[in-house]
Amino acid sequence: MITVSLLQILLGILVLTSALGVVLSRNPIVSAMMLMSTLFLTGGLYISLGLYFIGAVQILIYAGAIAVLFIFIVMLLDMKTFKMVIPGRKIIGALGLVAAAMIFASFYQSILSGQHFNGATSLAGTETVNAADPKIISLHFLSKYMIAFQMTGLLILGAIMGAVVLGKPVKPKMAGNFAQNTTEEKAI
Amino acid sequence: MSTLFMMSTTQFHIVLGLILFSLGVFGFLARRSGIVALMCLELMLNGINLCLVSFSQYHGNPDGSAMILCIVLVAAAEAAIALSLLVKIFRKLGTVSLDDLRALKG
Repeated sequence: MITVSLLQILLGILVLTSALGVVLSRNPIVSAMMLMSTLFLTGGLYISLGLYFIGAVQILIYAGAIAVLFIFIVMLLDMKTFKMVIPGRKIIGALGLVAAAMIFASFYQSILSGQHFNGATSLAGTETVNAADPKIISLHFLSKYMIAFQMTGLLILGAIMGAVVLGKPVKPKMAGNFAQNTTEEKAI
Repeated sequence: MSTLFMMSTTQFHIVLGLILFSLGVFGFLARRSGIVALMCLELMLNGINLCLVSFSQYHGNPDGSAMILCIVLVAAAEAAIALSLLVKIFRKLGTVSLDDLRALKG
């Protein structure tokens, strides 16, 4: 049975603190920074488990690209603090807390009750199987998960095209008065 | 604290992933800003990844790692599309507060 090391506990506490910062912070830029910290420290947890490749991918793609994209968008949008308060908003927040607590309790009960996953009967045996060897993962991607791999590529292509189409400024309709459109364009 | 040290790594990481997922659910339901809601979505995906990693490591099976790579790519696509939609909404309405998006309310 492999017990938790001090490093993992430290990383776990830091991950939870950063996640609380994401959820509770009033300032969106602080939330984005905390999200970056959470993703980075989760990469540290993967590395502490021996999954070096997954940890590197997590740090490169999640903390390096997605979190930076969030920070970029927060800075682009120049958001003000939200003044308008919907009357039932506090109730929705309380219900969200209850829902999160119930989800956590039910999964905790169903997964961790009993003798499962206490490490006494690890299916991997005493010899740690390197489940994250890049060679094994790439062989899986080219044999068993071929369809998923191709579909992910198609999804990325669609997402790029969608982002380009969504990011284009809306042109005035050409079906109307053409002279009016041209004057508008000159004014712009 | 002593019970924390007695946990196996699998249990520890599953509990951590569950807490991350629950925090994400809470933030997604409770926060008003659209962009923070998206960040909480990423938090939920991160918790799921952590659970998947610990299951994969417990079984000594590389399937979990392959799934995690797919999840990371899907999260990247989702973030790109959702953020460009948010930029579009911001240009149209001047706000990204989820409470202001009530055009479909009957």
